[in-house]
Amino acid sequence: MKHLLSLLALSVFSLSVQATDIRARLGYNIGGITPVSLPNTIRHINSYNPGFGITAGVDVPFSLSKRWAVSFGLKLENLRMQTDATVKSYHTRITMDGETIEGYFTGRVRTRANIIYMTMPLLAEYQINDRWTLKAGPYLSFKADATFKGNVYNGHLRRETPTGDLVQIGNDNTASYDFSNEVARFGTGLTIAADYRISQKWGAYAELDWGLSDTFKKNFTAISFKMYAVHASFGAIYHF
Amino acid sequence: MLHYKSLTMVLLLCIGMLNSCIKDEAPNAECDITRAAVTVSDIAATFYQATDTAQTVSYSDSVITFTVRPLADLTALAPRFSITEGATISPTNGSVHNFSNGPVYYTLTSEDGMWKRRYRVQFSTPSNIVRDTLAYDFEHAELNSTGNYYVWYEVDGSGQKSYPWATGNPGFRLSSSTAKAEEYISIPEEAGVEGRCVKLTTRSTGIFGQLAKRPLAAGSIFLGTFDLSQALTNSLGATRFGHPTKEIPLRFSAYYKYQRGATYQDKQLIPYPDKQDYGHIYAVLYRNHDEAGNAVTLDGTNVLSSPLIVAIASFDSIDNRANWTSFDIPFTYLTTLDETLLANFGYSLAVVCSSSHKGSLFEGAIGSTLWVDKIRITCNSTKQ
Repeated sequence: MKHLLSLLALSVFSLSVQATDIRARLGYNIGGITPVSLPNTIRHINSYNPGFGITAGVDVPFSLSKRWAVSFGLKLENLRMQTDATVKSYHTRITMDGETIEGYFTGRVRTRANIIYMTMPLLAEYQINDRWTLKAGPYLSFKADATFKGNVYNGHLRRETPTGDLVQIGNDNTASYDFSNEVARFGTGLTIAADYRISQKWGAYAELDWGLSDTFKKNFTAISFKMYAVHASFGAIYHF
Repeated sequence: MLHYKSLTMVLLLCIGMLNSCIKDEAPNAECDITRAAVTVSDIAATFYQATDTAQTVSYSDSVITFTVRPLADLTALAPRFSITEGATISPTNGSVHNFSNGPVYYTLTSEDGMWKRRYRVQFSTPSNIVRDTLAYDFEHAELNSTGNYYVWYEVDGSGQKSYPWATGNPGFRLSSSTAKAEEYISIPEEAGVEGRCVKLTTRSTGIFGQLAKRPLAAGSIFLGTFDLSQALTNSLGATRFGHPTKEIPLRFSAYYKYQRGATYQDKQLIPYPDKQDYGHIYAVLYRNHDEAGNAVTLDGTNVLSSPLIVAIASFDSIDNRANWTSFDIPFTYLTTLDETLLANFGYSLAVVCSSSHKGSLFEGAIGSTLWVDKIRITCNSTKQ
């Protein structure tokens, strides 16, 4: 407890005195939403296009010592992803407009996701040498806009149980879904990154963001496993 | 240099995790009979048609009925079933049983051991009595096995129940899981001409129906079966019309009331202010085997157009009628009947009632309602 208070006091002191730099970042995001461990209902990933989104942000480091710093940031990042998977006996419960379809689906699932998050990372930075800085820390995300939709095709649905009514589903886009409103408003995760100083004004960075919270709201039952925002980004830094 | 390696290692680790191994496939959870067949030494002695020895079993059915001649020997029959891969069946597939005292029940267990289905397999003889008049009054309706919607049945002289009627109710259930039985497209109503009647209403299928590009469902009742599995891939094929008959239908009559809905719309929900909805009641007699000897059931694609049709009685363009009104029309014969075919149930008779005459194309007015009662088919019962 004593150590925590000391650390907080130090941080506050550092903030007021030691803001050395303002950095703007612009980069590409690769990655999207993924389950971390595939449940056995997913039989095959037919295609996975992580999609290229843009990320743009500003962050400010506050020196704590010669090599250590803490940075606060604010960025807008666009996660895009398209995937096509084959599933077997995949349990889903879709509620729309007060009506529910629940059952076990076997067949193909196509998904397109496009989410814009406003993210605030809080990172510990360690300057290894003149050029390289390693960073790690948590972040908090807010969903600014989200599209998460797709359709199921070439399969069948067993209503309620695997022995229930069977409905064939063909390939004419008659079973589409839109879960855009089910994307959770807040999220958290961890970031690890590296900054490379090219010159006084310019730099480059690479970053991995690993979501630790479910991309969807708690009461969302259409997807029976958790999905996480996992993405890497790389780009340019401009030091003001 | 250590730092380069760390970064690369981390990235590789992440890619590896993102492509994490597909887990082993779980054993099957489904356990259905999809086909049933029985082999006998003398097919003609047991069956009316060779094609009656085998049938496709619908996923929604739990009763499998083989139609046999009245004097057929049912004491030692061994039906063989096509079942879901990995499922087990008890009693053994292909085992011999005595079906002369009633049905034999088969239980299927899924490969993963967690799910079961019970099927009733029976051999029954159709009514060989040729009657003057076929009468359908829609007095008998009960909730289906899951208690969600009504099904209609007939009771014969000896109190035996049969279920020759089908409706689109199972399809409506898919889109409207919260609807009460009285809110379905086909329901019984107390105020018939005498006793009960059937009330058919065209209803919206809500958000799921819209997504499936089937925004409404016409209320219907027909002699035949409804194959739910085709509801989304081949909706016209889901309504299978007719049952084998020995009757020679001559005249077709019924009582009806009709009230069309306010706004006619098409499949894209576009309203047509200058179009009006109409009801349709019709009966069709058709040959139930094609030239190659394959069994045929007419469906929504061809029940009014197939070359296998031998007679039609169609009362179309049913307009608003607030009070019970009757019609009485003759069957128009397109060809003569073959006596041998008739004696062996080679013809099927379909009767179809719908609250929107273009309902099979998902066009009509939501709210259009057709009430039907006292269907009568006058037949030629003179023995040849």
